[in-house]
Amino acid sequence: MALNGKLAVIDLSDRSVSIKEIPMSVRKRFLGGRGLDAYLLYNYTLPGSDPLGPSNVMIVSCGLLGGLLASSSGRCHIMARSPLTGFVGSSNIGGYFAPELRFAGFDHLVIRGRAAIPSYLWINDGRIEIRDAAHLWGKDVFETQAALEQELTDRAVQTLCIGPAGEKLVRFATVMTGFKNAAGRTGLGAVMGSKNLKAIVARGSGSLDIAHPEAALEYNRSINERILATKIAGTMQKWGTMFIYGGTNAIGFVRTNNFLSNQLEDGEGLEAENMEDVSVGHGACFGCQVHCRHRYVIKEGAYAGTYAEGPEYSSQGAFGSMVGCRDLNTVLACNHLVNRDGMDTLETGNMIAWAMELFEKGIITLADTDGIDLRFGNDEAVIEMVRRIAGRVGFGHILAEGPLRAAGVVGRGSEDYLIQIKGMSNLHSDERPTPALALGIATSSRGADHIRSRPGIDVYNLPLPTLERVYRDNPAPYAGPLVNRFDSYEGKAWMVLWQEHNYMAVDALGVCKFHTIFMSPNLPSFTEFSRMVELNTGLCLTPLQIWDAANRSYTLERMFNIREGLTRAHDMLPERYFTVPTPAGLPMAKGKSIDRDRFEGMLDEYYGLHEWDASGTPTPQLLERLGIGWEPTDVL
Amino acid sequence: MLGEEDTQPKERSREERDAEVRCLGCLGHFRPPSGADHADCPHCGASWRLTWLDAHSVKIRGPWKKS
Amino acid sequence: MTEVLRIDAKSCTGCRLCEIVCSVKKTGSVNSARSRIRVVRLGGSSGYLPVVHRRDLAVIMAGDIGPGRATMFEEYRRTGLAQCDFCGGDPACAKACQAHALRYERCAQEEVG
Ligand code: SF4
Ligand code: SF4
Ligand SMILES: [Zn+2]
Repeated sequence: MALNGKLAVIDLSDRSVSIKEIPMSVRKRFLGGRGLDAYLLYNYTLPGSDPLGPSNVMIVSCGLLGGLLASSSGRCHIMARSPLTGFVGSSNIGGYFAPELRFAGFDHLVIRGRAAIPSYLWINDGRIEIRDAAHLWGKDVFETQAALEQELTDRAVQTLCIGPAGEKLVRFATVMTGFKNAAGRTGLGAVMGSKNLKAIVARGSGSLDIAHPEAALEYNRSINERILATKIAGTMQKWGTMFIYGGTNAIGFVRTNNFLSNQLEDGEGLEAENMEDVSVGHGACFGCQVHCRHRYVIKEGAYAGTYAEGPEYSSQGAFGSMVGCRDLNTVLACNHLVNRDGMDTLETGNMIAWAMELFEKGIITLADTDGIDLRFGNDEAVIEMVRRIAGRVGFGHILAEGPLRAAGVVGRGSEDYLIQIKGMSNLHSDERPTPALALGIATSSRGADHIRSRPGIDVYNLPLPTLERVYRDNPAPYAGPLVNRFDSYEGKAWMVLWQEHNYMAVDALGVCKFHTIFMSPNLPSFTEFSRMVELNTGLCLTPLQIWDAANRSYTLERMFNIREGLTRAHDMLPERYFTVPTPAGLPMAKGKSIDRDRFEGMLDEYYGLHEWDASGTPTPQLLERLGIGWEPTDVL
Repeated sequence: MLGEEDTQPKERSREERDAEVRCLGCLGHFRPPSGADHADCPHCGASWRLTWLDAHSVKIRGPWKKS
Repeated sequence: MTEVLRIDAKSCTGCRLCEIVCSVKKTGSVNSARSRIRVVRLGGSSGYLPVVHRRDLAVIMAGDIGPGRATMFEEYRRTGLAQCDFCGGDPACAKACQAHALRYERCAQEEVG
C-alpha cells in the first residue's frame, strides 16, 4: 500500500540515521504532514530549546495523500521551533519535493543536531547520506539546485534548500524548492542554516500502490472537474492569486503604507492583468490542475531578462501597497530576489514598510538607514533594502532580526508601528472591517497569518443556506449562530475554528488550500477527504475522524506554544486595530475598527468552542478525549 | 475577492454565473455587455472596470474612474 | 480520419498528472518511471515537454522539442518500458490534462502522413 513510508531521525552532530516504521495507529490519530509533524515537534524538542541551536529539530514531511490521486498531492510540510516567534515554526510548501521523498521511501524526516561542516542530505531509494556541501555554501537557491542536479547527474532529483539568507540566519529565511516554492513563514530557513544544512535532495523509484485504482482515478477526475467548475479556479488558472488584489483594493481591504491606509490609490499598476505582458505560461505543483503560478521574464529594470515564477498576492502587498509602490516591476524584481536568496516575501515587505513609517514619522533618520531614503513609494530603496536584509548589511542587519527584535534595537517607541502577532508580521490585508478575519490572525498558532484559519468566504456575505451547508454539523456538531455579514462578531468564532480544522486536515493530508473551502464554498473538504483517503490508501477514516485528528494536532500545536510561554495576551491584535479607524475604501470598509470588548467576547467564545479555559489552555477533559492527556504524548 | 461563488440564493447555471459580476459596492449581481471593458451597476450606479477570462467569463478588475 | 494525440508543450504546466494517471491506469500504482508519458523539464522560460512513449506518427508535437524527446526515448529504451496504446482509445493522460497540453482527437490521414 501507499502508506509504508518511514520516519527517519537524522542527527547531524553524530551523523547517525535511524529509521522507524510509522504505526498505522499513529497515522489514524495524526494523519501525516503537518498533523504528524505537530506530534513529532512536541515529542522531539525539550521546552526552551534554542531555535537556532542543535537541540531544535527540523521536521520535513509529505502528507497522508502525498503523491497520490488527490487533485494536488505535492505539498510538503516543515516544522521546527521558530527562530522568529519562539512558538510553532510551521510552513507548507508546494512543488514536487514531497512526492519524491515518498517515492524514496520516507514520509517524515526529523533532523536534529548541527553538522560540523556545511552538508546536504542525499535521500535515494531508502538510503540517507550526509554529504559535504562546502562547495554549495554561498550559492543562491537557483544555483544550488542546478549544482545538485549536475553533481548527482539526474535532472529529476527534487531539492529543498536554503539561500544566502538562510545561511546568514535571517530570522525569516525560507526553505525553497524550484523557482518560487517557499516554506515562507516562521524562519525555517534559518533553522536549516543553523544546522549547517544547505539542502535535502530526494530521488526515488518506489511505487505507491493505490488501494482502488479505477475508482480513485474516476473520483479524482470528478473532483478536478468540480474544482475547475468554480469561477475562482478559472480565475486562478489565468491570474494566480494576484487576481485577489483588484477586488480587495477596490473595497479597501489592502494595507497600504504599512498601516496608514487600507487602500492603495492609483494602484492599477499592480493588477494581475498586467502580468500578460511578462508571462510566458503557467506552472503547477504535483498533480494540480489549477496551475496558479505565473512563469515570467522580467522586462524592465536591473533584472530585465531574468526568468522567475510567481508572484503571489502576498508580494503585491509586500513590495507594492505596504511600501507604497505602484510599479509591478518592483514587485517582480523583489519577488525574484527573495526567492533567489531565500527570504519570506511577507516578512521582508513588512520590515521595510515598518521602517518606512518610522522614517516618515522621523522616528528614524538617514543616520539609521545608512543614508537610504526610506520614503513610501521609493522603488529603488525597497529593492536595495531587500538586498541588504538578505545580506545582513548595515540597517538590513537589524531588519533581518524580524519585528520584535528589530524594534528592540531601534527602540524609540517603534514597536507600536509593527503589524505583528506573536512576533510574526501579517499579510497586507487589513482586518479592521472583518472581525472574523481579525480573530483568525490573532489566534493562529504560528502568529499573524491568513492561511491557518481564515474564513475567506465570510467576506462574500454568502446566502445563509450556503453557510449552513459549510459550517453546520460538517462534520462536527455546532448549534450556535451563523451570520452572513462580514462585519458581524456573531458566529465568527466557529467559522474560524472550522477553517482551522479544515486547513489542518489539508496540511496533514498534503493537499492544497486552493482545492478546499478557502475562497469558494463549493470546493472539497472533510467528506471528500475521507473518500480520497479510502480510495487511495484503503484506510477508512470518517469525516469526523479526520476532523478529530485535525483537532488533536491543532491542540498539540497549542500545547507546544503554551510550553514555550504563550498566554492569552499573545492572541491579540496590534493595538491600532482597536484605536485607529480605516481611513479609506467603500462604505463597507471605511471608518472601521475592531471593538475591543466584542473582540474579547469572540476570543472567549473561540476558547470555549475549543474546550480551552479562559486563559487559552486546553482543558484536561479535552486532552483526555483526544488521547493526548499524558506527557510526553508517546515517542515514536 | 468577492468571487461569484454561490452568492445568490437561487441556483444559477455555470454560464449565468460566469457571465455575471457582483458589484463590490452593493453586492448586487448584474450581467455586463459581452466584451465590455467597463460597466455600471444597475442597482447602485457604481462603475467598474472589467476583465474577461475568456469570451464568456467576466470579473471585476477595479473601479472605473469617470473623467 | 485517424486518432492522434496532439501535444502542445507550450501549454504544459509540468504538473505531471499525466504521469500519475498513466502509471495508475497501467500498473495500479503511482510511479513516474512506469508511465508511458513523461514530462521533461526543459528549464526556465522553456517550460516543460510531455513525451509519449510511442514511435508512430499518431503523436503530433507542437512547440520546441529540442533534445528533450530523444533523451526521454533513450530512457524508455533503457528501462524497457511498454509503449503507449492510447489506453485502447481513451487515453487517461489526455482525459486528465486540463491545461490543454494533451488532446486526443481525430484528424485527417494526410496530417499524419
Ligand atoms: S493551486 Fe497552486 S499552489 Fe495549489 S497545488 Fe495547484 S499550483 Fe500548487
Ligand atoms: S497533465 Fe498536462 S499540463 Fe500536466 S504535465 Fe501532463 S501534459 Fe503537462
Ligand atoms: Zn452596485
